[in-house]
Amino acid sequence: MVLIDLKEFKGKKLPTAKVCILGGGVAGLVLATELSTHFSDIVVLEAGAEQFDIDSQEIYKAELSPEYYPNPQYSRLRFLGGASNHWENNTSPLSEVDFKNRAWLNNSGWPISLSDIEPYYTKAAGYCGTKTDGYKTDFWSKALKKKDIVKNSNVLSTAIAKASYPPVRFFSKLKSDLISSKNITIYSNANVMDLTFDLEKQTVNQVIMESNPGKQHIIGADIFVMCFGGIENPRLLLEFNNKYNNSIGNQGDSVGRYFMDHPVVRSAYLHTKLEKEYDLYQWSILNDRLVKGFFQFKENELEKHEISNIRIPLIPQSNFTLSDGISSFHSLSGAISAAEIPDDLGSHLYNVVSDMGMVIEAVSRKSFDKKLFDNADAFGGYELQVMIEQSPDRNNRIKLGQEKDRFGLRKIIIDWKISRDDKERMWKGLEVAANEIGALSLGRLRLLREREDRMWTSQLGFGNHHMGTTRMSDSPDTGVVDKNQQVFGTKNFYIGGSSVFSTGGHVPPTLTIVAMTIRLADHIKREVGRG
Amino acid sequence: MDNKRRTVLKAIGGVSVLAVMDTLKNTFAYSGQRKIDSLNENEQNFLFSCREQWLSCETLLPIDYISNAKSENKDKSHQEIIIQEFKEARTINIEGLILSKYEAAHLAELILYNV
Repeated sequence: MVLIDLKEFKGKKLPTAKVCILGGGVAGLVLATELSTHFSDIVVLEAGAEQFDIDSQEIYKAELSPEYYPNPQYSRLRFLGGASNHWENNTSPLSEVDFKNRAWLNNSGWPISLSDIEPYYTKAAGYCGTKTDGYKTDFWSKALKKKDIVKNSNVLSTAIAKASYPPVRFFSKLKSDLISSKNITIYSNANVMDLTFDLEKQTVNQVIMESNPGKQHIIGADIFVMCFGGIENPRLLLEFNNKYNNSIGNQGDSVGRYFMDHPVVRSAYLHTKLEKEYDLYQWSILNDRLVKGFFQFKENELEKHEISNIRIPLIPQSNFTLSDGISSFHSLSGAISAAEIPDDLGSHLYNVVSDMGMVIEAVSRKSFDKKLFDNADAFGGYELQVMIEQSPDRNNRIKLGQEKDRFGLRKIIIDWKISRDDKERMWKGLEVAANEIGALSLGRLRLLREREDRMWTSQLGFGNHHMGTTRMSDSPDTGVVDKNQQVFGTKNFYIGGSSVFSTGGHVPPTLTIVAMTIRLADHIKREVGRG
Repeated sequence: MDNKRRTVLKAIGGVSVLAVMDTLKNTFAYSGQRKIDSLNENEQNFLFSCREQWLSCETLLPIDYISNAKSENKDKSHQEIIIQEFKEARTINIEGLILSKYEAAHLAELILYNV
C-alpha cells in the first residue's frame, strides 16, 4: 500500500486505476483488501486523513436535523477507518425474516435473501474481530454453560451478539495487510466533488476531487464504488444527479429516501428474582471477545401480531435506577423549569411521595456525592433497552440544503421521524413478550408507557446506523441499486455500505455491511474477469 | 416506588405463584380474616389503584373472577392457572405492569381486607 496525502500531490491527474473506491471506512477498506488479491491497481479516496481532524469533521455538519436526532457532525467520523473508530463492535447477523416482504410493514423486504449473504458472514466475522465460530445460540449456550431460557418458547428466541474487545478499528487492523498487498494506493484528503458521466454509454469515466478548496484533482478508472456511508452516499449522489438529470440511480426519486436508523428505547422493566437464570444475557468475556444473548421474536409471531422485530437486551438495574419516584421527580423538575403543568401531575406527585427514599438518595448522590441507603444498589431487575426495526418510509430522507461547506458542496438536511405505527408495533411486541415471559414464569414486564413524552424525545437512544438511502431493489422505480449493488442506469458504478439496505432489521449493521462488501468484491472480480 | 411495593413486584416476578401468595401475605400481613394492621398509606394506594384498574375494565368483581377461575380449574395449581392465562393473553395492565388476571384479581381483592 502507498498512502499519499493529496495535499502534497503536485499534479492534477492521478494515475488511472482498475477500481476506484470512494471512501476509506469499513466498506471501502474491506473492499480494497478483498480486491487486492485480484487487481494490481486499486485506489481508495479518503476525504479525511489518517487521524481525526476537527476541520475535516466540520464537513459533516448538517444544515438542519431533527431536534432529538444525533448530530451528524459527530455521529460518524471522517478519517481512515470511518465509524469503526468509535463503534462498540456489537455484531449479529440478520435473520431470514429481515429480508422478506411483510405485508404489514410498508416497503419492507429485499430483492435478495439471507442465503445470498450467509456464506459471507463467517469471513465478515473475521474482519470484525469476532472470530469464525458463528452466532448459533445452541453452540454458545453449551460453550458458555449458560441456559437459553426461552429455548422451548414458540414466541421468543435467543439470538447471540458478539463483540471484539477492544473494538476493531478497521484501518489499524487492515493496515499491515494493505501495505503488504502493494496493489493499493490510498489518497487521503481527497474530497470528492463531482464525476463525469457518459449518458450514452452509462459509464462513470472520472471522479473530480479537491485536496484543499480550489485545488482540483482527477482520476479515471474502469470501475467506481462509492462507500461514503449512509448519509454522504446520498448527499454526493444527489449532487451528481442534479448535473445528470437523475440518470444515476435516481430514476424513481429514491436517492436519499427510506432513511432508517435503529432507535433504542428504554421502554420496559423486567421484574424478576431469577438473576442467575439470565446469565446468558449478560456479557461473557472470552479472551479478547464478549458474547451475550438477547431476546427477539420468532417469525411466526411477527406475522401473527403484525409487529416488527425488536432486539431486547437485558440491562441489570439496581433499586435506585428502577425508581419510579426518581423518574417522576425528573418529569416534575423539567415541567417546573419550563413553567408548565405536566400531564398526570397527580401520578408524578404520588410516585415521588411514595418513593421518597430513592428520591432523597438521588438528590444526595447528585448534590453531595454520598450514598444513603444500602438497599439502593441491590439488584432490582432489568431494563429493556429495546432496539426497534424502523419501517422504510419514503418521507424519511436525506436531502440537500442551501448552505454550502467550504468545498462548495451543499450541506444536508435530515428529515426523519419515527412513525406512530412503528411505536405502536413496539408496544404491541412488548405486550406479546410480557405474556410469554409470564407464561414461562421468568418474571413480569412493566411497560413504561407513561414516560412516552420523554421516551421518544430527550431519552431516545440511537444506533447511529444510517441505512436505506440508496436502497437495493428489483426496479429503478423503487430503489437505487440492483441486487449486485450496481447503480441503476450505470455500467460501472457500485455502492457499498448500509445505505443499500432495503430494510434495516433489528441488529447492528456492520457485520452485514462487511459480508455484503465481500460479496460485492466477488461480483466485481467475476464481472471484470468476464468483461 | 416504596420498598414494600418493590417487594411485591419482585415477588410476582418470581417463579412460583405460591411464593407470590406467601410474599403477599408476608408483605401485607394478609391474614385472610379481613384484618390487616400493617398497610401504610402508600401500600393502600397501590392496591387501591389495582382495584380501580380492575373495576374500570372488567365486568366481574375480583372475588368472583377468582372463584370462577378456581372452579373452572379445580385440578390446577395457582401457578398453572397463571401460566395458562399468560399463554392465552388473559392479562391486565396495572400501571404498566402486565399481570395475569388471576393474580391481578388477588391484588385487587387485597385492599378490601384493610379494615
